[in-house]
Amino acid sequence: MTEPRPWREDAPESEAAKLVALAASVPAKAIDRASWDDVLARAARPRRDWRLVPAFALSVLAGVGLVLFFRPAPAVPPPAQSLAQAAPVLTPSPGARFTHASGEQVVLTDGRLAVAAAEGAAVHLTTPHVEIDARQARFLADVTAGGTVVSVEEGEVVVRTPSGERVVRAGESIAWPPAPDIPGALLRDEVEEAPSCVALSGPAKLECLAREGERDGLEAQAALYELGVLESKAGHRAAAERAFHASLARFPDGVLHPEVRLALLVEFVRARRFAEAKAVAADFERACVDDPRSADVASLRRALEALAP
Amino acid sequence: MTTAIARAGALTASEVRGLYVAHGAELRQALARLAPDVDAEDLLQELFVVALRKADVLARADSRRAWLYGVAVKLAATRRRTARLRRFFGLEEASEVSAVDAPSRTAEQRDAQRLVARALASVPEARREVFVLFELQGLPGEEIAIALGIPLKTVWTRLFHARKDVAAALERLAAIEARTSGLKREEVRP
Repeated sequence: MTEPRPWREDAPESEAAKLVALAASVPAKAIDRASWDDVLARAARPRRDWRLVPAFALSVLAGVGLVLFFRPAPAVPPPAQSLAQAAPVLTPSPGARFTHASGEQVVLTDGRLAVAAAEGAAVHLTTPHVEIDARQARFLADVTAGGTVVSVEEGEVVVRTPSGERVVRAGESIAWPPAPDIPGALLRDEVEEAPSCVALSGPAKLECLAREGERDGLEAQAALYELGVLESKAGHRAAAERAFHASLARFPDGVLHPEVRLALLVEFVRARRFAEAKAVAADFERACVDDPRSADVASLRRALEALAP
Repeated sequence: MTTAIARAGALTASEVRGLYVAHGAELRQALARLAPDVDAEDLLQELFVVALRKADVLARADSRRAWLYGVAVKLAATRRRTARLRRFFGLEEASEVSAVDAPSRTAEQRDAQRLVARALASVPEARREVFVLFELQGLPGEEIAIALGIPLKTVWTRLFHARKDVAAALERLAAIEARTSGLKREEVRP
């Protein structure tokens, strides 16, 4: 684990941190070497004044007597359920691999785990990428080959990454390692609409595009591409991938194949599926040698290689 | 005294003196920061009396500086509690404290120290100890973990909470200062 930096370096804009740094910068007054003689003289003195022992024993006895005399009724032990509440509540999704040996230490190696640390309970969750400390918080940790995503639902958690620590509060999430930046040239905001479905919108448009995509020729290519883009914008990743894959399978050298490959690449990077993104980028470089965006794709692929070696 | 501590595997008095010369100044400053109402010079002497008496344990320590800091933290906590108790029962007046900082310190540094000390007074002891050792004394995490006998992760957790506590306390102090001085809140640090 990386050692946290001094506060002043961690939060350079914080006035409190500046003040603490200023206080810490005061040098210590040099030690007077002659004062060592005082230490030796003090060490030579008897360690205890044993004359006080009888008085001490008497006071202890008196104290014990008083405590016994005024002892309150024995407290009712807390019910077993409340003790159980002190442990974190772990809810794994199917396929999640984790260990919870005892106490607050939890290790999650794969899959998704919902963690609830109630009042008085603490949890220290370790994943292959980050470490998470939480107290009185509810959060979700999702570990994949591409990294760890932590989403906090209640309270706040401390997430330690190799580059430092960060507090993630309710409603926020953090992904580590961070996805590489996608060069602007690879992103397309506007898509040319397939002419046969241009008058439609919503689910009717998607149905129309799927139908058109089953035909042949340029219109089918345009329809599959637009279908993939619309599904992606709607957050339907699986449907978007299906459309792009169908397009590449049927029209590997079609006029839109570079656009489809790039859309698939962006989709995989955003889904943090770095190994698949790397493969798509390499395919693009092979299939679109003369494309002006090849250099951007190559640079993105190199960034992905660091994340999915 | 020298013969008394010249046990097999133990440090000699001259070796302990070497530690006193090397680390005495920073330890005294740390003691003053951990227990501002107790005389740090007196505590430093007591710390090295312990070092002389436990010279064999000190000799085996992985980090002698961390060991000394560990004893310093315990001594400061004990003496602070005792002094408070004695004052409560009227047995002892607040004692004079020795100067522990270099005379070259500026007025700005002195004000910062005063504010930070006031803020630290409201921080729970366990967090305060980690904060003082890491932020003010500049000890690395591993040495703090050895000194306090706690896992490294606990050091970072306590540090995280201590920073929040100190920031909140400084904010409160600034608000109070603004109220009493008539200045606007933005004109008062932090």
